Formats: sequence, structure tokens, C-alpha cells
Amino acid sequence: MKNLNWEQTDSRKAKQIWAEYQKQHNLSDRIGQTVGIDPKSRRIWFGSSIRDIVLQRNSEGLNSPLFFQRVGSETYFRKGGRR
Amino acid sequence: MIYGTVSVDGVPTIILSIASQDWMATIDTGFNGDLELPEPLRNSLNDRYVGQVTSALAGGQMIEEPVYLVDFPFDDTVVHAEATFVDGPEILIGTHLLREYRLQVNFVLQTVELEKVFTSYLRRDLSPGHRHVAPLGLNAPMYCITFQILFSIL
Repeated sequence: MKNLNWEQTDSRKAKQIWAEYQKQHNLSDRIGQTVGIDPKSRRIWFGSSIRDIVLQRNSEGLNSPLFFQRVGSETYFRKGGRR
Repeated sequence: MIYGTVSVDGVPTIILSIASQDWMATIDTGFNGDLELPEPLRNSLNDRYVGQVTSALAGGQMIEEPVYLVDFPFDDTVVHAEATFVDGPEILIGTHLLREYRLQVNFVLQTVELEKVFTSYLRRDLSPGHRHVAPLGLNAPMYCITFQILFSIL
């Protein structure tokens, strides 16, 4: 396993930032989109996919890891089939 | 077109050649992502760690896991896909990777067919400003769907 440069506290912080953001914004027109949350800068990016957000950030010279969510869903992936 | 089979235990599978090795890949319509990959494939696909995601597993269990972007050889091209890695021998292909494909599983004949369809044309045709006939090259069922939806709009 590679060193991922990500701590559990980063996840907790990102979830908290996202929860606050959802309370303050109407996201009905963003349902199904991908959101990337940076726990360190508290910035949020929206896009059509994780790759889309990574490309947006690369164009800004940013490449630190994010916490990804799907707007309107509790989880990003649903893996309900084979396991 | 990609062809596969339904395994003896009823699972739609295709064989993919990656890094000079054949890998069994399951078409998992219960998975809404791109790929779940075996750890041994990690170094063959130019994996880049991009962050964390939460995943809902069967039975309601939720986990947090690292997510990567990979360059994945699929259908005679290289697809830039989202992937997670697991300890296991099998590739899982999810519905997001297949978003431009028509999947046909014939459980009677135990065959699987994946055909790429040109959804960008369809989406453009269905938008309010583009109510014209679907372009040539789409198959008959696609025409039917297009026309049915267009007529309901009109």
C-alpha cells in the first residue's frame, strides 16, 4: 500500500465541511454531480466525475487528495453486487 | 463489440488482456462506478491516488476507501477510469464504465455482448433545441426510443 497522505481526521473534516455547505446552499440542480472537498483549504469543487474535478484542479496547479461525494447520495460508490 | 459469456454460476463475464495476461472481468450492474481491480494490476495501469470515497456495500455496510485514476485498456482503446483496488483475483466492471454501451446478456445461450452506442448524438437530439432525426448509424431500437421520446415531447 502506498503512502496516501490522508488521515482519518481529513475525512471527518471534509464530511463536516460538506454538511455545512449543504445547509447553506440549494443543491437541487447539482443532484448526481461529483463534489470534491479539500479538508485543508475548505474549498469545494463540482464536476461530472472525479476525473473531471482532478482535471479542473490540475489546471489550477493543485493535486492534493480530496474527499469525493456524490451530490444527493450518502456514498460515492454503490457496490451492491458481487462481493 | 465485446463478447463474453455467462459463467456456470450465472455471472456475466468477459476476458480482458492486460499486461500480457488474461483477466476475468465481471459485468456488475449492481456497481455504479467504473472499476474494482485486483491489487496485482495496480502497477500496470499508471494508478494515481486522488482521494477518498465512501462506498455502500451489499447488506448496507459502508466503507471508506482510496480512489485512483487509472489508464485502463478496454475495447481497443485506453480509458481514463476511476478505480478502487482490492485483494482478489477478479476485475469488476461497473455501470459508469459502460455508460456508452448497450449490454445484452442472454442467460439461455450464456452469451454477453457489449456494444458501444453514440449517446452524445442521442442526448443532442433530445435536447429542446435539436429536435431532428437521429443520425444514421444508430441501430433500430435506438431510433425507436428516440422517436418515442420526441413524440411525447412534441
